[in-house]
Amino acid sequence: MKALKISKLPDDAIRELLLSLFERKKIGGVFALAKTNTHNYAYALITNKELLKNITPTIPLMPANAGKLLSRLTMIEPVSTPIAVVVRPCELRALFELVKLEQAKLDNLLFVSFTCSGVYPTRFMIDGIENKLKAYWENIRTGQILQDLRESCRICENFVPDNADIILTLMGKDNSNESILLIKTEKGKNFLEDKSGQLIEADLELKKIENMRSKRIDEKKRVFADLKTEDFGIKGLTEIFGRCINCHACSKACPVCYCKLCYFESSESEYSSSTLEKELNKRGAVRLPTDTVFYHVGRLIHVGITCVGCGMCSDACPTSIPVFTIFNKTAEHVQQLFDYIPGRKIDEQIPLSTFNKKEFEEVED
Amino acid sequence: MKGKIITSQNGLNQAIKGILKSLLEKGLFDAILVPTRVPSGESFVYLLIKDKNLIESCTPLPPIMPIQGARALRELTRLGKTSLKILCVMRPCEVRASVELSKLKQVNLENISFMSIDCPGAFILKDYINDPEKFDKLYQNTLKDWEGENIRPSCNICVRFSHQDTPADIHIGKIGMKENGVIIVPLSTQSNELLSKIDIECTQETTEWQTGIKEKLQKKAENRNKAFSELKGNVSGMENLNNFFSNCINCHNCMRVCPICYCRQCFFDSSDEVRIAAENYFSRAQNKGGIKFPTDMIFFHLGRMSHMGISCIGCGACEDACPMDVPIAQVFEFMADELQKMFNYIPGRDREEQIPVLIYKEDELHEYEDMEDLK
Repeated sequence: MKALKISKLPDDAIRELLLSLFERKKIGGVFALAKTNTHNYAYALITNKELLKNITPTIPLMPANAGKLLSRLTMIEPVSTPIAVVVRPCELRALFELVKLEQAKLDNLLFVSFTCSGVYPTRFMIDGIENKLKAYWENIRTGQILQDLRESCRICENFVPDNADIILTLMGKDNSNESILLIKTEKGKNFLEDKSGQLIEADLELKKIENMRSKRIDEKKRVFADLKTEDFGIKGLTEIFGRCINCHACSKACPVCYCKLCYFESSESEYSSSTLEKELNKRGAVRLPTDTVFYHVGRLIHVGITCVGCGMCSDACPTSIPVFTIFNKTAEHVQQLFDYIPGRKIDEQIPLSTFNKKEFEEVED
Repeated sequence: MKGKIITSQNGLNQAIKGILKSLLEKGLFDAILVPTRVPSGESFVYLLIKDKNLIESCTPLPPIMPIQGARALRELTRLGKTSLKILCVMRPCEVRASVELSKLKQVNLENISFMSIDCPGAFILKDYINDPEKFDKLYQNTLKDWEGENIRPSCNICVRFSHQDTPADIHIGKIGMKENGVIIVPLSTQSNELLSKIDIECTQETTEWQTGIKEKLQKKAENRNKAFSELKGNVSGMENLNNFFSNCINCHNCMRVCPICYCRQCFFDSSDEVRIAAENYFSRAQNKGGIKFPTDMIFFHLGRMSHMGISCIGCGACEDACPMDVPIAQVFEFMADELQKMFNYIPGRDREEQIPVLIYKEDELHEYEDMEDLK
């Protein structure tokens, strides 16, 4: 496919691309991760092209899943001015799921993404991650999995942004002055039609992608084996969620958990003291607050099919429960049953909201 | 104030368990709400216990406070009073939060009694969960010295760590007591009678304990003044606030674990705040050239401060639950302290005292009436 070759570092190449889109009035804004004036990183909607210098799309952090943020931006109406959105593959997939769930709109959004090597836990932002970047890029070049990345990233297989319009190829690259931006879609082509610069023929770095994918699959096997979900049962669940403080941070951080009022925060989930007293009489003791495991199992059922595996849940957990690992393991099973990869294609319906007359006959009897 | 001094070779928790067992056996209470270690060992939850054999498994004063006790009691009595006579075993700040919540009609105190315990502070939740064994050992020292470097900052500046301003029924004292000494102090005539039913006659002097409290109080008050004066320079003005909260990722966890922040749906999670037209975001971005997402981070914290500041009991649960280690409890306590002083109000100290922002007085705060900049 056609690609734009820009002899600059990846972030600079993206900045140059965006700047040219701005200057040719193709876009009126950019949504991307940016360095803040307090020296942290946060997503920002930027409308002044002078501020593009602050964007840092490849900084390996995800302070929020951008899919969720873009749903905020476009929940009621699509943006009327075209915006270039620079996000990671799982964020894009989350956004696509949210569009299917009628929580976001895609109109006027141009998606720029890259083959993703993962992010560090958000907590790393507290001490700054600048000293981590050398090792990060070194591992991108050599195709190794960094052990201090988010667990979700270490075991992610869907790190190619298939649904982006423009893809920066990073797998196997070093942070060097040669950036290849693949023009994947017609939309991408239209945005770039009168862009000057060197157009070349290029493709995804398939061999390196396969190499990384197989390493991540091995890593996933190891992670899942360590968790021993097979022996879970209610006892295992009680143990692993035992230290849950019922703060529901996992659901707030989850991009696809979109209910404005969660069942578990609604009046439905409030018990009268007499109900609790009955339980007390039956069991001799009652845990308060109640329904800790119920909440997690409920959430598993609700978001399992659309879980994009971004790992925000584990990152937000104040008691370090491996929420992501449990959810991803379950989600994988559910998604395989329906041959569904959430957010892969916009026109692919969420299986739970489509009716097939003929399916799962094996469970009928 | 009189009490009964007992010696417990097996520590404070064991001594309290003995009392709890007797209270249940004699039928003086139907159930006890008390922290208990989770099966996997690395944390604690509140259990409402009826079966007296389960008392042995509880930990009345655990080294951490994963869930503020008032949240547990609220869960039980939010929809109305309980018909059971229940004794809640809590840290002083949890008792105060419970009482404050009752004023906000989120807890029903009928049939509820409180046993508060001298509190040496709690460890930082994340630290403990990472290495429970290490911190269990450290806690033994903390219970002796009544201070320690690993104690949460909010606990280090807490000046209500004993029976002060805590409307409990029975208090268990340990500060200043000789090795293995524990003092049981009834805080009302009813609880005095109650204790005598389990053969605890509270007739001894409490001087040793009171002296211990005085000493600690002085130390903690110094810590508090020092912390607040350091904080003052760091949080005044918009720029400072932005810096202070710069790591905030808008997860709202501080609000969710706060015992006082009880709204079912926070304004900042409601339609008013979440369903905003794209054009609105766009014009806000255009004003400044760009806006951070999610928006309104400082607005959220200031909003929360003005909503619950008068009732903030300084328990530090917010800070424990912050995934980004923002020292949020301290700034809330600092602000709450100023606000509460204005109204001479200490949240949760008295069951009858009304929350100042809920009562109208014609004659108050005249000094603010003529402020030039308010005109």
